[in-house]
Amino acid sequence: MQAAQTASASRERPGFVDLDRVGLSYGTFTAVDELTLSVRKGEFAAVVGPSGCGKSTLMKLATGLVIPQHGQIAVEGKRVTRPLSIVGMAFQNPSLLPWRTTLDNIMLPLEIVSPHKERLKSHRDEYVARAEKMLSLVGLEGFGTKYPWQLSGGMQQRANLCRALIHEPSLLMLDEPFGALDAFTREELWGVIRDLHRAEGFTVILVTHDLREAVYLADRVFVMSARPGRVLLEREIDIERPRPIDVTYTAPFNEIVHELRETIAQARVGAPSSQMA
Amino acid sequence: MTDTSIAGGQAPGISAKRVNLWWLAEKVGSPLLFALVLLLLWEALCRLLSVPEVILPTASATFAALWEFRAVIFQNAVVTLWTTLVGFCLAIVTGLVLGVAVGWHRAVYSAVYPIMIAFNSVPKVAVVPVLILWFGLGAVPAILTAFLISFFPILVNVATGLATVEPELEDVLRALGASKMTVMKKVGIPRSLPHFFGSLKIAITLAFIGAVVAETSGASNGLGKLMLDAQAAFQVPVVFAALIVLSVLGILLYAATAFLEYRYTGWAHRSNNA
Amino acid sequence: MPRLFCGLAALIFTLMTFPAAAQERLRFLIDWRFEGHVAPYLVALDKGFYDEEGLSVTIDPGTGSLDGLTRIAAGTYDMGQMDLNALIKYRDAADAAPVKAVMITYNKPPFVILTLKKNGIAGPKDLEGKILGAPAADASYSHWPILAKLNDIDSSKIRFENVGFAVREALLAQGNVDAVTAFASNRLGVKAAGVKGEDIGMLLMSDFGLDLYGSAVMASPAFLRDHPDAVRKFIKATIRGFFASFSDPEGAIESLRKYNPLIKADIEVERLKLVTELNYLTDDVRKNGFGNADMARLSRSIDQLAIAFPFKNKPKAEDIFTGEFLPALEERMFK
Repeated sequence: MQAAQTASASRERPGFVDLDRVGLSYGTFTAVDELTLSVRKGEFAAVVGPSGCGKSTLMKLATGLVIPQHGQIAVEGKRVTRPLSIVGMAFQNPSLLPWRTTLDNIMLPLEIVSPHKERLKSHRDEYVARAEKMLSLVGLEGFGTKYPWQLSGGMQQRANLCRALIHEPSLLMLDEPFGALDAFTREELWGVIRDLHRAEGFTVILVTHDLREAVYLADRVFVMSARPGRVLLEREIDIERPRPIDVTYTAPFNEIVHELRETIAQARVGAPSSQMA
Repeated sequence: MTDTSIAGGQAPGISAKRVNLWWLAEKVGSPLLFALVLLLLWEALCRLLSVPEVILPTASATFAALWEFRAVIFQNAVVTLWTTLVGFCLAIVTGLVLGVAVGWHRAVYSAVYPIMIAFNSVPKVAVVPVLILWFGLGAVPAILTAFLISFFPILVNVATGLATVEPELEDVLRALGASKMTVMKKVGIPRSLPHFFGSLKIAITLAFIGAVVAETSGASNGLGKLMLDAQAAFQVPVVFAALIVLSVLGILLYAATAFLEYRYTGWAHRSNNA
Repeated sequence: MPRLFCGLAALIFTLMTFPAAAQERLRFLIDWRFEGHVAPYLVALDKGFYDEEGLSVTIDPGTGSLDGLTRIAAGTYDMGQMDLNALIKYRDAADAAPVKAVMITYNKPPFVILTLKKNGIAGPKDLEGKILGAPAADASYSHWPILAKLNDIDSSKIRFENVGFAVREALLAQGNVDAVTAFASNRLGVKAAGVKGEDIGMLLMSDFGLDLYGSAVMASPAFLRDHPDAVRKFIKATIRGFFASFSDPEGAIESLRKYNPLIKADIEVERLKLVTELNYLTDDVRKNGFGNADMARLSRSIDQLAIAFPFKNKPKAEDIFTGEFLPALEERMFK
């Protein structure tokens, strides 16, 4: 009864990322069940929910790192059976390689993904220029030669974003990327990702526990239930773009946040702490 | 703006060492001074308590013997050093190869690791007579003992370094389509280098011990054998002179590997601002 | 000019290598370390006795008779000095290489029981009720059953302690054991452990019925077959080395020092003199010459060994020793 699935709306028009009644279990532990959501191309989607609801599993499913036992996942209309190189991922932990300079770090995906892997040696200057441009886009101009340990947490996370985007993916997956940062840095990076999205136009799925973050950044917010995860609510965020930071202090904004919060609170209360499928 | 980086490269921890007088005094001078004090204490104790030479010769008698027999001591020191280094190199190669194999996959790690521990628990002193039986007397048992004793720490460190790649990083790379081999090459192996170099310090000390132990059990040359021969000829100061040479060699070997470690993995000693 | 130089160099090189090519190579292995009592070989080497016979000899220290026999049998060494009794037991195996002894050096065996005079052990029978330190690998101890049988000793009344070689003499000196099995030269070790010479008691097993020989020069079967002349020459030069050492023990130790710089001269001179008196230059040798073996006595010694060692293919005296490589009697008499 709590589930207000608007799955029918998404099924009518196939989206860029489609999860259709996906179920995944690790042994007897069911992470997600009957998970259905659809993200449009170029959309900024945010996924929120109580902890342990399977948000991270969603990340792995969408990128093809795990294959579900039930249901289907499709990206760009094609079924996902293995990892796709059109995806960029960034986690809370920047995981930069300490033995590489920042520039070399963000160029790492170019050494792995075709066709860049083959072209890298011969067109190195071109790629370096691209990397430098990325760095300046996120405000790290001139820090390419520095090592990760010379950067603050916020700066490392910016570099992490660059790394996720260097190979021009069409889908960006973010798993609580700003969770470890202080409030000011976080707001700053909201601006960065907001502007990047506007400029480049890729699809984003942002997993976060911060409702304000979700509402501020996203075009649509998906609220997941407690484990086993499924979508409880889809909420279009119809606040106008571009969104300045002060919009987070307006009444309409806070109403939406409040509404989402209530849904989640009910989901936490209603669901038993462990559920065997 | 709260983003401040630690600009200018002045990192906490080891920075570019300026080898000046203070540094020399601290790192080299004070240990030497302390050693000198210990030697004086040794001399004083022997004289005051009239310790017979067969039990403990005085420091001065030991150093006199060291000078008098410097030629034969030097020859044997070279042999011990050589067998140590050969055994050590074998250990590095084996430790690396096996370490990569074991750390590659969790399943291999679980299967092989307990066996390795069991193997490593066998005191190598017990194995030396078997080696002599198989390979005769000569450098081979000493080299093999040095190798057997010292390859395990290297293996363990490499395997552990590989097996502890952050899962998120592995996810990021695998989501891009990287094979396990690529992840190993780009992340796993560089990440385990500090572990590897750290294990070298332990390994070379063990290799040294292994070589000397094999010599005392019946090899044909080396400082261990020299000590036995000196004992038989009732030249006890020479025994202790050889002991001193062994300890100096041990320090030098350790310092050499510590330097290698710093040189190649300085980046690992800086703190990470995560 | 360069051509002349090259020609000259070639000539010099040929001349240098020529003597070496004319010399026959011989690799010799001693059963233990280079200590005073093996100085005779090193005297022969140092003073050029082997060179004069046209032999280019190398001598190495060894690690025991058993290991040495294996190496001689394998051909790693051509000849060596090893314990004759070890050879006899070695030849018991059906597939043993027929290594043979060609010259006896230890006319009397070095096997002794060392004790302190104050412990009141005048003969092996007195050991009943006492503690005997006997390292498990000690060759002397391996002959205990023979000694016990010949002297009617009840071994169950003796407490045997398996002491390590390194601490044997020290334990005797400190009184932890009443006596130890050892070689004659270990007497020096007891002295070094702090006991005065006159307080040390030494029972020669040969005085109590043991009729074994001690060490002997042996050769691999291949070498005997292919280089009989070299064997003869080696023995000749070695006898000269022995006699020179008997006449001038101090000089012998000086030669020894060149090959083992670690030695203490006075101790090794004492060691050489002790072994000369007890084992090398016995009454039998003074009367009958150095190096030969009495075949009857050798047969008896094999029978004695059978008391302690279960022979499967008991060798005969002729299998063990041959005197055909010894020089004539006059050359073997010490004057």
